Parts: sequence; structure tokens; C-alpha cells
Amino acid sequence: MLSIQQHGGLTAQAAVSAAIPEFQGVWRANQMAVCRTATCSTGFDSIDAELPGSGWPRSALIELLLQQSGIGEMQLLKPVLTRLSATQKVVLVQPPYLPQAMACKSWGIHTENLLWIKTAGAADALWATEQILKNGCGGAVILWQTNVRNEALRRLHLAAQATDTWLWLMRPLAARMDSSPAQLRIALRPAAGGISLKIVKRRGPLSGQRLFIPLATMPASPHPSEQQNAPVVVRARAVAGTRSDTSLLV
Amino acid sequence: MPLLALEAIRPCWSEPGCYAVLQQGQVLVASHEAIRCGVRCGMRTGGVSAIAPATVMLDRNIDKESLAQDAIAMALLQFTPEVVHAPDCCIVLDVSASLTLFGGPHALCRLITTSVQRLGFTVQLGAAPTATGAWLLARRWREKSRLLRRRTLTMKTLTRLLNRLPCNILPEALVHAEWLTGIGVDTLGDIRKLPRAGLLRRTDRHLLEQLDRAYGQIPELFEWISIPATFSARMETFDRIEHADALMFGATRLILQLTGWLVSLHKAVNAFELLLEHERGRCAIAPTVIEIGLAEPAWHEPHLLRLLQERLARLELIAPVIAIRLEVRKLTAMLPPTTSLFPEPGGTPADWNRLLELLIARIGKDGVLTPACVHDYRPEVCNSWVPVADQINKKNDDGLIVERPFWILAKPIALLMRDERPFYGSPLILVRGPERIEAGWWDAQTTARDYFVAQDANASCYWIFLERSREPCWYLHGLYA
Repeated sequence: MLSIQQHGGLTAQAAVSAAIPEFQGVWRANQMAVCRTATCSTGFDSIDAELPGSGWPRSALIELLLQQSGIGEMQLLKPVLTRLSATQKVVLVQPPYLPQAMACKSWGIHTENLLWIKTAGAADALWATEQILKNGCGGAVILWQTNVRNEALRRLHLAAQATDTWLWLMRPLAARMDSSPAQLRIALRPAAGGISLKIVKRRGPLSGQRLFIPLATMPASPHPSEQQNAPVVVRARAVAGTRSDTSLLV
Repeated sequence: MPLLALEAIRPCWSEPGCYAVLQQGQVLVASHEAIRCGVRCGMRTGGVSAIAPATVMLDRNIDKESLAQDAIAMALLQFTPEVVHAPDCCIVLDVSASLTLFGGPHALCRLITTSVQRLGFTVQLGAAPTATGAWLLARRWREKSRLLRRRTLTMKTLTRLLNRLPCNILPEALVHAEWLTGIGVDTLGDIRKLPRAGLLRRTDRHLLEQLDRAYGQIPELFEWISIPATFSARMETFDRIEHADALMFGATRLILQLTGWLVSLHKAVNAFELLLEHERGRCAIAPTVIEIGLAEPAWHEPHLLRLLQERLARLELIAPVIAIRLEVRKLTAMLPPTTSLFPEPGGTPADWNRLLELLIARIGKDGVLTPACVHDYRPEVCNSWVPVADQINKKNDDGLIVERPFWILAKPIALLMRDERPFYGSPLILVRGPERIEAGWWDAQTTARDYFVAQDANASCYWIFLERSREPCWYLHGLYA
């Protein structure tokens, strides 16, 4: 009886340190949070490794903080949108420019499931987003906003939690210092041949390093210096100057 | 509806106050506040002004009353097709076939009460196995120190409740009230104790028949109200309305009537119109028409109300509104609910259509867009988006697919030139190109451009072109997102 107790005492310390990671309710600060909602892989392994649940979380507000529009943010979402649009609706709310249906088609997004909501003001855009989330029919909603108040963010976050929809909110990079209820916040900056991203907030330890994601469809020159030296503009102007309007269309 | 005469003039949600409705100089109905001040039914004008001088006396408007009663009957048609008007501002419904559908007698009573209250009327609901019994119980007034019970499901309780009712609740007994009081008969139970043959000799046949009907001893026959083949409901507003939001009450009432009518006919509405009538007479203004088209036929009152609310919120009235009218434009048969066992993930197509209708109602038709398939080389034409409402379900054929930037500028921006290079924030370096697009000679938008992909110092990519048909000039047309 005694010997058994002693044996138990000796191995206790080792047992505790080995057993803690297996407890469901214990979270260590250097661990990634357990994602309870479904996730959808981003399509890029290096991002997946950095995200809890290794993918974009569903039913949560995801903020993408852009240095400017048109730096490859849609290509970052391309794999997930392609997958979702096959069966579900993808809604773009108040995009900054006109979305190009041909680009979507060339990426493999099913354009018949694409919906563009063009609103006059931010209030209408937020209202429309909330209605789509409440309805629960949309597979993914992408909302562009420049100035969002914290109340609106919290409202979106609550609405997102109640549905099975992916929600991305595109905001300017300047908003990264403001607090936000979003579960995941990623800052995006342009980079040659891809996009550079930094996770501002996630459910897990702080992420220090910047990630470079090469985007295959991003047109980038392999040797920028070569192109820089070519006097393309002068040549093009000369060509254009010699042509007349009438001969142009023959 | 004990206060119908008053509420036809002043709906139950209007500000409380002392009001009395007069008929031939006598008070017919008084509001709760007036009764608290001492006003009683049957008082004369002088008496009322002596007891409660603040009471506003209104004249009875029989036309409005009958309109209101018709409106209530129409709205109640959604619970049962068997609806009939009864004397003393009552409506009798035969709900025996509807109990299971609406979740039992309690739930049904609650539904009926709420829908009548939303129409703007106070309701006293009585329920009994016989129609006459229910009618008598519903008209029963609250007495002091006595539990008020107006609803019963069994014949035994009904008999007990009816036995306790005073004689004068029955109009046929009111004729012989003096004689009945003289022989010490106070309640219906007392009348029934009297020998039948003697009662028939001294009173009339109608009293006995009515009593037998109430106690379920002879069958009751009713001529249920007939459902009109077309729907057109009109309501005068209680005041000149200058805010579109304030029309919501009237609209609710009309929509409730519409729902009742649709459900009773097993139809669903595809398109309807709300007409806001303005000034009549010399300076008449044509009514404002709010047209609401539905992608999917509907008969659900909350959905129709939401759509109307969004539309009314956007509306600017050109003149005060004096009446509103609802007209149905297009009808289809009501579809039975889906029979699949498991709900579809991500909502049904009907839910999606309902969402689109809601979005269109607020944002407008041109704000909810879907890509259209147009085969053209010009990016402006190729990238055309059409309103969802207009879209004909076209098969998405894969014609030509070329690589394009995700964002397109609605209008190309002319770029500055610095050191013979296009400049947009920083000098642009041409990365790929040219792609020549020459098209559109057949219409007015002739295009002749050389497209290039350019990169700025930040490494973000742009789609720029060199205009060839006019003065050569660089334009920014797209962004690679």
C-alpha cells in the first residue's frame, strides 16, 4: 500500500507537466486558441499555420486593414471565395470600385452567385450587411467601410456570431490602432509579386513577424530593373502619334 | 368589441381621454377615463356635462362602424373561413377546425386578440362550444368581487356559466324584462327553471329558441360572410398625415385585411399597390402610388409589412394624406410548405428572395446588382452589372475568359506625366503589355487602347492604358486587388 503511494508521488511532477496540454479547459499563453466555430482554409499554408483553427473563422467578424485598395486583398480571399461561391452566395457591399465580373470568372468564382450591393451611404451599407447576416442565406459577405464607429462594429460582430456566414470587413490601415471587437485583424501591405500581411489581433499569442504571401495571379515583373530601363513610354507615344484616326479602325 | 362605436372614430392607441359617443342624445359608449369620471351609458348630454365637464362628446358614425367591423371580419378570415357578424358589435368565428393548426385554443385566442388590437380595437373574447353561448359570454361585463370567466371548452362549464348570467344580456328577454323581474327571475338559469309551456304562452318563441341555441339543445345555422373575389381596401386616415412613417398604422390595418383575404382564398400576392390619396375637390392631387412587386408570391404579414415600412421610410410626401387604399395587382395560388424533412443549409431560395426584396425596398432596384454576361472586348461593356430584379435567368456560358484586374474604375483617370513616365503617387513602371483593344466601331463608344500592367514604388499593380484614338494620353483604369 505504502510503496504504491510513494511510487505515485515520484512520478507526479512529470505526470502533471505531461497532462496539462491534454486538459480541454486549460489554455497556455503561448498556445493558439481552440476555435469552436467552423473554419475554412485560406488556401495559403503559411497563413493557415498562424490562424487559430487554421483558417478563416466562420460566424465572426474578420477585419482586413488595407494600406490602400487594390493591393491584392481580393486575391488573398480568392481560394475561399472560389470554394464558397460554388454553392453559396457571395455579397460585396459598397466596394470602393466597380468589381470586374471577368476577373471573378477567370479566378473560378461562380459569378451567378455574386451580388454587388451599391448603397448611397455607410448607414445603408451597414444595414444591408446586418440584414444579410440575419437572413443567413449568404455564404460570405465582404463589406468595405472607411469610418466605422465602434457600436457598428460590435453590432456587426453580434450579427455575425448568430449566423453561418463568413464576414470580412475591409478598413483602412489607419484603423489598426483603434480597438475593435473583431476576432481576427490582419494588416495588409503591398509587396512585389504578392502581399505582405501582419496579424494584428488573433486568439492566440502575439504574432511578431510579417508574412509574405506570393500571389500567382499578381502581375509582377521577375526583373524589375530591366523593365525600369526600357523607354516604353517614349516608344508608345511615337507610335500613337503617327497613327491617324481614320486608319485606326480599318 | 365593446368600444367599437368609439374606436371607429378614435382607435385604441390614440391618447387616452374622456370621450363619449352619443346616439339620439344618450351616451352609447364611453371611454374608460369617462366611466371613471362617472359617465354611464344611457346618460343624457346635460348629465354628462354636469358630471364630467371635460368629456368630449362625439356623434355616432354608423358607416365607419360597419366599415371597421368589416375590416375586422376580413382580418379574422386568416384564422377560419367561417366568420359571421353578430348583433351588438360582435363577430362570431367557428374555429373548431383551426385549433390544431394554430396550436390549441389558448394560442389561437392570443393570436385573435393581438390581431384585433393591432387593427386598433379593444376586444373581449368569449369562447364556448356553442356560438350563441360564446356570444353571450363575450358580452358579459366585469362585476365586482367576482371572477370573470369568458372562455370554456366544455358543455358542463358553459351551462354553469350561462346559468349565472343576468337575464337582460339576452335581447329577447329584454322585451319581457318587467314581467321577469316581477316574478323574481334574475338570471338565465332562473328562466330555464320555469315550465316551458307556460313560458312559451307568456313570452315568445324567439326567447326559447335563443336559449336552446345557447345551451346547445338545437343546432345553430349561420350564413357565413362571403369572401369577395377581388381585394381593394380603403381607409381614411384620422387626420391629415404629413409624415410617411405615420401611415404605418393604416398600412398595418390594410395588410392585416389583405392577409386574411389571401389566406381564406388560398392565394399569394405577387404585386400590390398602396395608393396615398391627397386633397380632393378643386385642388385635387393625383394619389401617390407605391408599387411593391415580390420576387416570390407571399402571404406572410410580417414580410409584407417590413417591405412596406422600408418603402414608406424612403418616401417623401408631396402633400398631406387623407386616405390610403390597398389594391392587389397580381395573384397566384399559395404553395404548400416544403415537405423535405431537413432544412436546407444556408436557407431556402425563398428566404434569399425575401432578403433581396427587403434590400431592394430600401436601397432601390439599382443598388442590388448581379453580373450580366456580355461578350465584348471593351472592359466597360463586358463588365456590366444589372439589377437582380431585372435579371432573366440566363445560363452562364463560358465564352472568352481573359485575365483582368479585380477593380475597374467607373471613369478612367487621366495620369500625370513625369519624366516621360505615367505618374500615380509614384512613377509607374510598365510590367506587362501591351494588350490592344480596338472595338466598338459599330456603336458610338469607339475604343482604341493599348493596355499595360504597371507597378508603382509600393509594388501595387495598376491597369493603365494609352489612348490611341485621340491625343495620346495615359489613363488609369483598373487595380489588381
